[in-house]
Amino acid sequence: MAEDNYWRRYSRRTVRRRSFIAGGAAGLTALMAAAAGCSSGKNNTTASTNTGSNARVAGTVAPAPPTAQALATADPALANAKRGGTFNIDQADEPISLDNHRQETPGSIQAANLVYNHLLRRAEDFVAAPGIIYVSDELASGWEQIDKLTYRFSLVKNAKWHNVAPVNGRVFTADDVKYSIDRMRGSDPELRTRSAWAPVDKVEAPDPYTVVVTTKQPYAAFTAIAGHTWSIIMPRELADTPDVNRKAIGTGPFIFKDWQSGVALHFDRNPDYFRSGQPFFDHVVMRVVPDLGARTANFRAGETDIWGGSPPTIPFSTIDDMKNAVPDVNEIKRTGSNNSGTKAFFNTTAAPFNDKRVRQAFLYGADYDSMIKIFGGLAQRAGPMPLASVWGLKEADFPKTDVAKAKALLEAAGYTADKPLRVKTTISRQYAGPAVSQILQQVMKPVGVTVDIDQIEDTAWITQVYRGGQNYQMTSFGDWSWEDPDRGLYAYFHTDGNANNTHYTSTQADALLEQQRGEFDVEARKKIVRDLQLLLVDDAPNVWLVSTGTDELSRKRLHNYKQMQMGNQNSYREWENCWFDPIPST
Amino acid sequence: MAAIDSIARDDRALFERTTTAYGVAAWPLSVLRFCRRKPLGAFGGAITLALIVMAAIHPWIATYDPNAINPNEVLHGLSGQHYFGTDNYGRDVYSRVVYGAWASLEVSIVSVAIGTAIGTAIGVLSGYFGGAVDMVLQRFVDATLAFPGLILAIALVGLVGPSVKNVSIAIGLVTFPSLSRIVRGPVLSIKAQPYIEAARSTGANSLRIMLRHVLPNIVAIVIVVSTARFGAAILVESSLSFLGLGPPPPTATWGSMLSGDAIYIMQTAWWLAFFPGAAITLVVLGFNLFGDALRDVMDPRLRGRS
Repeated sequence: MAEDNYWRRYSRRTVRRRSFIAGGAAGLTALMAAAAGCSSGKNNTTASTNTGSNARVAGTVAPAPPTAQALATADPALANAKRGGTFNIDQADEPISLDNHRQETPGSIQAANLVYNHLLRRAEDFVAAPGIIYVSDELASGWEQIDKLTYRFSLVKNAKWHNVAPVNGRVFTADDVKYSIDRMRGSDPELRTRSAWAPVDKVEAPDPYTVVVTTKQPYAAFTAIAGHTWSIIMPRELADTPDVNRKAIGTGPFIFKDWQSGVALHFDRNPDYFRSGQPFFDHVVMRVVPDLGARTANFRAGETDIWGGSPPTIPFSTIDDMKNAVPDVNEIKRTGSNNSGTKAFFNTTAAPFNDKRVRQAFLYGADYDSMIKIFGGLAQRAGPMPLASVWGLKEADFPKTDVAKAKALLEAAGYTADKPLRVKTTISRQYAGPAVSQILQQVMKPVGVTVDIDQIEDTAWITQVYRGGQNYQMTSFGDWSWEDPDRGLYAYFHTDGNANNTHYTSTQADALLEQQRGEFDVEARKKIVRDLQLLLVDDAPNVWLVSTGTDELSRKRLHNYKQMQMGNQNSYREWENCWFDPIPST
Repeated sequence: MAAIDSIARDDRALFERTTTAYGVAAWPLSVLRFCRRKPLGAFGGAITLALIVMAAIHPWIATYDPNAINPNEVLHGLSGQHYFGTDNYGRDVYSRVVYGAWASLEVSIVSVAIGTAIGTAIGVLSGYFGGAVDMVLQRFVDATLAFPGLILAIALVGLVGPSVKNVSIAIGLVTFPSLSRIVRGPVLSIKAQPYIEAARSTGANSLRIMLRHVLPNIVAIVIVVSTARFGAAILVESSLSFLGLGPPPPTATWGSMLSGDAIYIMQTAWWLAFFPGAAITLVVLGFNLFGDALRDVMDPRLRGRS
């Protein structure tokens, strides 16, 4: 039902009368300009000459009205929305920092995205629908690509920062966008955004409500990056201080109130949000509940409205039982969703995984069929990009389990039956670490590889292993991937990528990563990305195991809820569109 | 934690009653007599014995590899193949419970050994030398006692990382202080005995006196207190495992079998939590009953009653 509202909303958006007239007017102006011969040269290569997703963007929403009025009017899908109530989220992992430019753990993203806005927003679910469209649905009221290197954003005029010191409700302007983009592409090695924003050459703010971004090279993923969860727009008053980790002041739907470590984060409705009438919840409480049993009990007791996840921690049969126990729920199932890929992750600079043959022994040795069976109904092979996305490889592209070949590879690398390979996987208790590792340990046994599990504290794991530490052999966990291959692969596998935690180096992969970055034609880019993925699968800095699929239940009183809490990074921003009916009494 | 506190209380009561009971004469009682006098204690002893036997022969009575996953039998109920059903990875719960007995016993033996060794050593030194040594050691014990046991164990394991070794050490370190108190009392009175003076007059040094004359006289007390400790150690180990601080996966321990997955799947698969839970309850009950009975028969004032 919620899905219906969603699509109706977008279909109406495209035919809105105001947009149509404005678009027509813009077109007419352009025609007249062309007729008068006022414009010439390469700047005239407008977005319409591009093909693929960008062209679709330009065709649907780029010539948006220059005013913010259209966005301020209530969306028809939200006509029945009711205001009130406290929305409770049980978050498994506590945020590490509220500065999304530096932290991208699920908890950190979830919390910060309630408070901050972005320039653009992804309009389509890249798993369910194969197109990828970035719309001017947040702080940009419209955008256009002037040429291969230049983008112009017009900004909403009624956005204000939250009325909290030190920003004190000042008006949001182009200068804030310029500041934030410059921050994201800064030189701080801690920045997770650095690689993705590095192609940006300069950011200009010709007037308070216009931002012009020029890239150094054609950058196909630019809109995806501008609409990405971590590309939050921050105020300099806060972002320049160390407070930014524990505090958030944004332009977004909810105002950050407090953060009690290990307990909860509290948010209040932003009464001055630039979309009038929104959001609908009066308060949002994000409780830190690492224990699955407690999260389950809270859902059963009606304290939370969403629950679910991926096997084997949550076998699908238990979700069916929950449906019987709590009848008034909607269910959203996803195959190959982007958060549920499990992987073995190697440190390619240290023995034994600096030897490609040892990594490949895992690739050929792992028993994928068994894993798929254990994970149950929605499971399938996992790849560098989710198989269900437009960029994904096909099942047939992956090598099948071949224990004999794996053994031969190990033997060639010097690990024989007399001197078998013994490795240590350093894991966290979160991110499905224990589940994936215990299964991996068993499926590698027939190959003669002993995998010892070393479970360390969550934060230590993030900083020492996942964040590019050198003192680990391998790790294994459930990871999520991203909508755009540049975002999903460049930072992780380019020699200079800022999240290259496997320390992987390949001139061939570097070349392909650069090539796809500059390719605007979607079909051509798909080909490059495919070659790149085949190379990565074979080189095996990671061995992608199985994508488990996700299944989520939401209470029917929660309206307009349409995506996995974790299954789709974009969904964090959708809480402003959700409401309760009836409003739970708390 | 409550278990530790109550054990500590029991220890104190025991200390009061046994200060005069060193050198217990009626040891050993015949097993038969023990069973007749203390049927509950005998029941506890039987459970304890069963646990030890199970742990000793666990590789032979387990029907499957406890860590082997089986994709075709995920979350199967009780059957002839899987007496206690299978878990969400298709592992045999019966085999895991059996292996868990070994893990629990391993941790409890090591931790009780550590706790007893340190506790006895501190107690004897402190009681024997008295004065400044007593003052320093007992204030250290006071400081350690001021921490709630489980919290201290969590902190220790959190600091050094979870493993069988570290968990055992942590539990041992949590349990030694109260034992040292219990030991110190009898040592004080033994020190005043004429045979100690006689030993000293023959030229025996302090170490020899402590080892040859003091220690044998407090062994009975130490044995009784340690037996009761096993139950508490198993409980703390289970609590740590439940909190994810026990021996790391895939080690089958009762506490870890109870944690996370099992608790919330209970509706679907009750056997996941039931069997390890029942095992913990039974074994802790067994150790406590046995320990209590042992204390009673070794206390001359209680002997012959009940």
